[in-house]
Formats: sequence, structure tokens, C-alpha cells
Amino acid sequence: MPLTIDNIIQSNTGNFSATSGNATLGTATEAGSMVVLCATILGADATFAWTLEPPTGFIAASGTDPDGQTANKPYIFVKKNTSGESSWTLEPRRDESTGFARDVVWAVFEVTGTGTDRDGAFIGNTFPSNPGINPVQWGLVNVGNAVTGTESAVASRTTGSTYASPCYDNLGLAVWGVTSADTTVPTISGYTNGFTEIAQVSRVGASRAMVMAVAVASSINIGTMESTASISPSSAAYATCVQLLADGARYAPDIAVFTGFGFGTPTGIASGSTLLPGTAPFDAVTGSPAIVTTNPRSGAYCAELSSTSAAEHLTWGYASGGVLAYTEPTSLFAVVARLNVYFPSSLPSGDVELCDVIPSGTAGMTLWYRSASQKLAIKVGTAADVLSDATVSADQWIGVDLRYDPRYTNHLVDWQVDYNSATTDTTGPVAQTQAVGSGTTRIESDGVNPLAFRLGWASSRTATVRYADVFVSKVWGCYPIGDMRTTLVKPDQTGTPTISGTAGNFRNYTGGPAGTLTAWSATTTRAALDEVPPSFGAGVGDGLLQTAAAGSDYCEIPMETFTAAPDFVLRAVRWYAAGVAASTASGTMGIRFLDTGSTVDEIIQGFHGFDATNLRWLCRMHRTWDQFYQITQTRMDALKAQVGLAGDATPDQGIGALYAEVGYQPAFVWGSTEAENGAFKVYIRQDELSGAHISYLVTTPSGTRGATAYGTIGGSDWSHYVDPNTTYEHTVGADNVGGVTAGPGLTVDPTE
Amino acid sequence: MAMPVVVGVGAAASGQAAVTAAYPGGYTATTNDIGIIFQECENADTPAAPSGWSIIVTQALTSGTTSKLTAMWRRIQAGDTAPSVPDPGNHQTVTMIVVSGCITAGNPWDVFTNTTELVSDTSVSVPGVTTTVNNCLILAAFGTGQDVNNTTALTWVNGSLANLAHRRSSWTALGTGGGFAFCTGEKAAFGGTGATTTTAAVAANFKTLMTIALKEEVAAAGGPPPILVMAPPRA
Repeated sequence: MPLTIDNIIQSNTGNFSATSGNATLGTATEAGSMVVLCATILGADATFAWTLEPPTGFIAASGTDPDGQTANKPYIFVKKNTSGESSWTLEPRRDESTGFARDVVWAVFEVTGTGTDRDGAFIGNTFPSNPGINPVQWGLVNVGNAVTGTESAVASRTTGSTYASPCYDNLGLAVWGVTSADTTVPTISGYTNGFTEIAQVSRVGASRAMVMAVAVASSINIGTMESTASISPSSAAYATCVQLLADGARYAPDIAVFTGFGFGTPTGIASGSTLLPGTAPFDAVTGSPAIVTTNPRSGAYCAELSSTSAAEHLTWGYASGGVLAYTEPTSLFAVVARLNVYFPSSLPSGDVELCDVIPSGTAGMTLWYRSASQKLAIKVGTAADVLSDATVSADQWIGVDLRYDPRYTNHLVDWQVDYNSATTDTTGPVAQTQAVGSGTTRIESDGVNPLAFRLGWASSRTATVRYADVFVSKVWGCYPIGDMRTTLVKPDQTGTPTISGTAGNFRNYTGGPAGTLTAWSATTTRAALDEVPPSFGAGVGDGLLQTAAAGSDYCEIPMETFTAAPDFVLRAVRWYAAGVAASTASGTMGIRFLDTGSTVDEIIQGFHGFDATNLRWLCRMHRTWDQFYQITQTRMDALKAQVGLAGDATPDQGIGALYAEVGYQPAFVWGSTEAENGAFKVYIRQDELSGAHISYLVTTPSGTRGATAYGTIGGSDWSHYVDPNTTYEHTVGADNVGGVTAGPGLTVDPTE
Repeated sequence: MAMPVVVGVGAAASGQAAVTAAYPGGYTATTNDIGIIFQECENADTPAAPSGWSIIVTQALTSGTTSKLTAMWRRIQAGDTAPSVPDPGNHQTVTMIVVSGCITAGNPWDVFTNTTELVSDTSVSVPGVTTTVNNCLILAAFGTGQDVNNTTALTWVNGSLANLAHRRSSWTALGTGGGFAFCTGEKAAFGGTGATTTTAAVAANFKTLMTIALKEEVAAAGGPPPILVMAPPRA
């Protein structure tokens, strides 16, 4: 539920010129309310640095304030989970010391419905040091940009952009502090980007007047917020902006890693760049997992772990060098995952661990299959099992969402089970009883974060379990990840690879990278890289090599696309490049991954340990390391890799295969219109998280009356007449909720 | 013949269970009057008409602050009592308007349209319809999912409609909250009504929008055959 101005249930403004003053509300706050206290202190005396510190229990949400003796400083202080409070003390500081009177204006607001997903149970009111990233894990406040401004008179002042919110339900709160050069109170107005003023308070001092304005705007989009206000007459002005996140806010599907095993082979499954750890499909493997084509859930493959009295597992690491270490946050995070398991032929005869989170220095969590009950179970630390509410069946995909939160002394696991997660099944998941750990220790620092996410069993077991469509996020709010599916795209066989630099620096090969070289061609290149799984071994396989030193030359390879609409929503992309070299000699190369713009991520130029016979992968998520990266259809359509960048003439280095695995979800179907007792219907397929419309389905009854469907997409009006007894689908494919500004509407033919 | 006439508007009722859609004050059920109930509820709710009533149209708002606006109708019979509107789920707020002089058989509406505006602001523009008969009473309504108690009367604008009148605003803070407002206006000569606009008294939000044209008892003589003038636009 988005936050709006209605979530501000009371407010007050005031001012003082004293060594301290109280900001007050008329009524004591309700339990759970957030108090937002905005204040501006008169500075600019060129003698002292005047500042305000957060009142007791508050934190400064507005970021750093300008240094020095000339700045007038607006602040946004936040205190969450208040109850029965109505007065808070502000103390001006002169060069960090209290006891000095100074002009202050303040405005205080009680806000309900703000994020308390994981409040300060152990972090108190301390906010993370990296405000752009860590709010994701706290689910509380997206701390905004630093206070910016100038003592030079200006006619307008921007707040600057906040950090990008990871959530879809936000309330931007902006503050401007403006000071005149005389005792005329300036006015602040004309807030851009939909901000609405909720307070303006002023004070006339001995020689200067100051005014502070506060404005808010709702947002149901991820991303930054900013507003610019007009100032009259031109005056010294400072401003800042923060975003408050709604309780239970919808989070962007921030996937840290995933796989559908679409690369098709267990060979090299834990073998990546020797220079860049975390570039293999998995960080570690024990036993001999197979990648099979039998009953894949989505895509063409799934993994089969099978052992007789032995351990078998695949691991993604969170610790330095692991796949999961690459993305933020790197400390104090939750483990959110979705996996699908399948017991072929029969249920295991004994207990078996299906996945676990390997802890550091304390007990972790395990998802079990328990043979006695034929149920799944979550075990956290030494606590007793929490069994699923129903038994599971063999020969059926079973989806499990879980969220492991080790940030409490007794670690918590929320989980749900989709007892039939086949892509053709529409039965939803069943929420399970939260598992509360015992014998666990809360994580408080980098040193005790989870170490790894593991599929399979580290103990000696006899079992066969298939895995498919495994997704992991480090963002608490991303739970549940839900019904994720995967497919693989390869180099576009209708696209044209190109060379940046000298084409003669590149070759195609057959018979392995030490085999026969031919002049580079676009057609050969795209055809050589698309076999799944890759052909590798002595004298085997074809591909692309850079054969001459040219550190800025590369071959750009456009990829196939996957069109999500009208049925699906894109969520994530992961790259798989099979690295090759003509010999084991040291040499450098690199790969860039791009879509519509500049490089999204890259395997930096370096010696990655390739050779002519062993499959060594270069895998990366198609995302930035520090924040959510949305895979829009436009970006998906533009997916490409740049291979080369070799700084050495020998050995010849390149790739033998190139894939991008795509993670996607079914669009959620809502009934939009039912007219005349359901005779006429309009359904919306939409992104359940963002609300973006994906497609419309219109059905009309038999008879003589049809209906006209209409709306506005991307600023353009559309309409379509649907004949009687007809089903019509209109594809939208919007990337966000703003893609549609009206509709779908329906005008039924006049009554006869 | 004559323009349908608004007999009155009942008090709004809100609840998290079944609620009674009140008749207008002092009203006694009169055969062939048309009752229209507007109901706002949560998008995930399932509206159901009271016994003997039918749903004209339901318009859902499936993104932003979600909501659902429904219009129900009944040709009232003498002796009817104010109906109980079934619990749709999360919450509901309802209001009944009673109109006399409508056609006495078949659907009482000539045409209706419904849609959403997915722009978060307070400006409201309810799309119009093109009536095919003379003397239609136009009901224009919008709803939002705003979780607030509000009954502020609104000023509506539509130069194509005569006697434009605000009829009711009713927002409730029960459950996830929401509400609607509606007006009536008169369209004497068949044709396009144009949009009906107003400014919401609740916070900026996405909106559900709905226009219903109720037709008089007998189509005006001299009007062209509806089939000829109302070929709907075809994409």
C-alpha cells in the first residue's frame, strides 16, 4: 500500500531563538508511528558553525549537512516506532557545543504506515552507513541525498535526487531552508514533480529572516525522487529530500543470482575465472550432479543430485570470492530464495537436506525432506523441525520460498510451499508456520554473515532430487520470490556480430581453440557460439578467438531476445560464457555485458586461466553490483556481449559458447471490468510487483452487442471494437505502472 | 417524453460486513423507479448484488492504491425495502440513488462506459458516452482507494449536461479504505456527453471512472434508429 499525504495524521510547526526548544505535536503519537522532525537552523554568521543534532531517539535521515560557518542547514530527523510521544527537544550547537541560543524553525509530522518490516530490534535507531543500499535490508527509510545549497541568492533550489528507492511504495519528503539577507521573509512555492506543500514556517531574526518549507509526494515506482522549488525573492537556499518506505512495501525483485541450469552440462560447473572468483555457475560442487533434460520445470534442463550414502551438493558462496559476494549488501543481510525440487519415481527413503544456509560461527538453517512424515521441514539451529502443513509427492515439482533472517538472536525463517509448482499448475503456494531458531546467534558484523547457500546434502545420504529455477536475493523485502521460470537465449542467428577495431585480430576456430583457424566472419561467429551444452575437449568445438594484441578491440555479439508480454514479466538475466584459449599460457582477455547503453557489467581484462580442453565459465548477473537493475523488454531486446580486449598476441583466447539465461515470472491476472453481470469482461495481466500492465483480455457474450475497449498507453490513445462472442487480447508490455495512464476502459454497445 | 428524474439519494453506508443501502429519506418504494447503488470496495473483493438486484458494471483499479467501483441496479417494486449489500470482503461503502421516469422494461440504461485513470492527481475526468436516444440522465462517478473518511461535496463541470448536480461523496477509512463520488446531469438530445470533470477532495491517487446514461420511458420520437447513429468506433 503506497504512502500518501493521508499517512501524515498530525503536524505542527514552530520556531524559537534559544539554547533549546521543543518541537511538539498536539496529541501523543500512536503506537508504531514514525515522527519526522524537520528543522532549519540559522547559520551564515561566518564565525561559528551552527548545527542541530538529532534529538534523543532520532536519526538524521537527511544525510550530511554542509560544513562551515556560512551555511543555513535544514535537517530531516526521523524516529520510528514511537508511542505516546508529543514533545522533542532541539538544541542548537555552536561549533559542536550546546548552550548557545540560535534561531530555529521546525515542523513535525506523525506518519503512519511507514516501513517497520525489520525495525531496530538490535540496531536501535542507527541507520546504515551506506544509505543508498542498506535501506534495502532494513526496509525502513531510504535516506536521501546530502543537504545541498548555497549562500548565494537563487531563485530556485533543487533538493537533488535521493538514492534510488528499492521499493514501489514510497513517500518523498523534501525540505527547503531559505534565508534572506534582510528581515523580509522569502516565499517558497512551485514544487516540481508532484510535491505538495505540507508546511511552511518562518522566523524573523534580528537581521535576517528564515523560512522552511516541507513538501511530500507519493511514488509507486522504484527510483529516485527530487523536487525543485521557486524562491522569491532570490535568497540563500538549501534543500534535501528523503524517501519513506511503506510498511509491507513491494520491493523490486532484486535477484543476486539464479540458474535454471540452462547451460546444460555439469562440466565445469564450479570452474570459473582463476582471476575473478565467483564467475562459475556455482562456487563449489561435491559429488557428481547431473544436468538432465528429464522433466525440466521450465527451460530445457534441470539439475539432478543423486547419491548413495554420499554427500552431493552445489554451493553459492556469500563470503569473499563467492557468487553471492558480488552484489550488495555484503553484510547484515537476509537470505531470500526460491527453489523447486522434484523427487523422481519415489520419495527418498530417508531424511535428506534439500538446501541449507551455511552459517559462520553459529547454527544456520536447513530445508529438509523428512521421510517419517513425508513432509518438508525447516530446522533453524538446534530448534525442532517446523513441518510443512501437508505431505509432498514424488514426480511433481515442488516450489519452496524461504526467507532466512539471521539478524535476530533466534534466527527466523518465513517460508511457503507450492506443492505443485509445475508451470501448468495454477494452485498457489501455502504459507507455512514461521520457524524460530534456537542456538543461533544474531549477526552483527561482517564476520558472522551467512557463508553459503547450498543445494543438496553435505551429509552422507541416499537420495535423488532434481532442482530447477533456483533464485536467491539478499533483500529482505523480496520475499517471497515466487514462481520464477527460466529460459536460455543464445547469439542471435539473425543478428550480425561486429568487430570494433581490426577484424583481422579475430578468428573463428574449429576442432578446438588450438585447431583450425579461419578468417573471422559474423555468420560463423554467431553459429559457433550457440550449441548447448558447449562442445569442449581436445580438438573439439568451435568458437571465437582474438589472435592479436589489441586491448580495445572486441567482437560484439547480439543475443536473441525473449519477449515476455503478453504472458510474462522479465526479472533477471545471467550470462554464461565458455572461455577458451589455444594453450595454458598466460594471456589476457575480457568480456563486457551490455544492453541499450554502456557496459552493465564486465569480466575485466585479465588472465582467467583458460586452456584448450577444459570448460571454464565466465558467469555474471546482468546487473549492477550495488542496486536493482530492471530488465525491461527494451533492454532484453538489446542484450549483447563484447568479447576480446586481449592485451596479448598469445595465446589465442576467446569463447566457445555464449548464453544468457533469463528469469521471468507469469503476469498476474486481475479482473478489471465485469459488465452486465459478467457478460462482458476485461482482464488485466500485470506485473504483480510494479503494477505495470502487460496485456488486456476482453471477452464479449454471444448476441448482437459488442464493446469497445480503450485506454492510453505510452501517451497514445487506443481503442478496439470487439465483436460479439469474441475474445480479444491487447498487448501492452509496459515496464512500469506509468506506462499506462488510462484504462483499460470498456464501452458496451447500447442496450437494444 | 421526459427526462428521468432523480427522486433522491440515500445516505451513504460503510462497513466491513453487509451494509444496507438506504433509500432516500422519506422515500417509499414505487414500482418502476430505478435504484442504482454505487459501491466502492477493495480490488481483491468480490462485489455481489443484493437479492433482486443486478450488477451493471464493476471497474477495478489493480495498481497503485487499489480499489473497485461497482454500479448495481433494480427496477423497484412497491413494497421493496432498502436492500442489504453483501459483504464483498475487506470493506465497502455504498449509496443508492433512486430515479423515476426511466424505461419500464429491459435495461434502464442506454449506454455506459467505465475505465481507470492511472495518474496520481486530484483532477478527475470521467469519460463521457454517446447516447443514442434523447432525454438521458447521466450518472458520472469516480472512486479511489484512499483510506480516509471524507464526504466533501464536489463541484462538477460538463458543459454538455444540464442541471449538473453533485449527489454524494463517501470515503471510508474502514479496512484498506476507499470511496467514491458521483453527480447527475441531463442530456436532452442524443449524442456525445463529453467528459465530466471535478477535483477530488481526497489525496491524489489513481481513479476508477464510470458514466451511465439512464434512458427515459420511451425513446423520443424523431430520433434516428440507434443502430445507424451509434456504430461504435472500431480500431
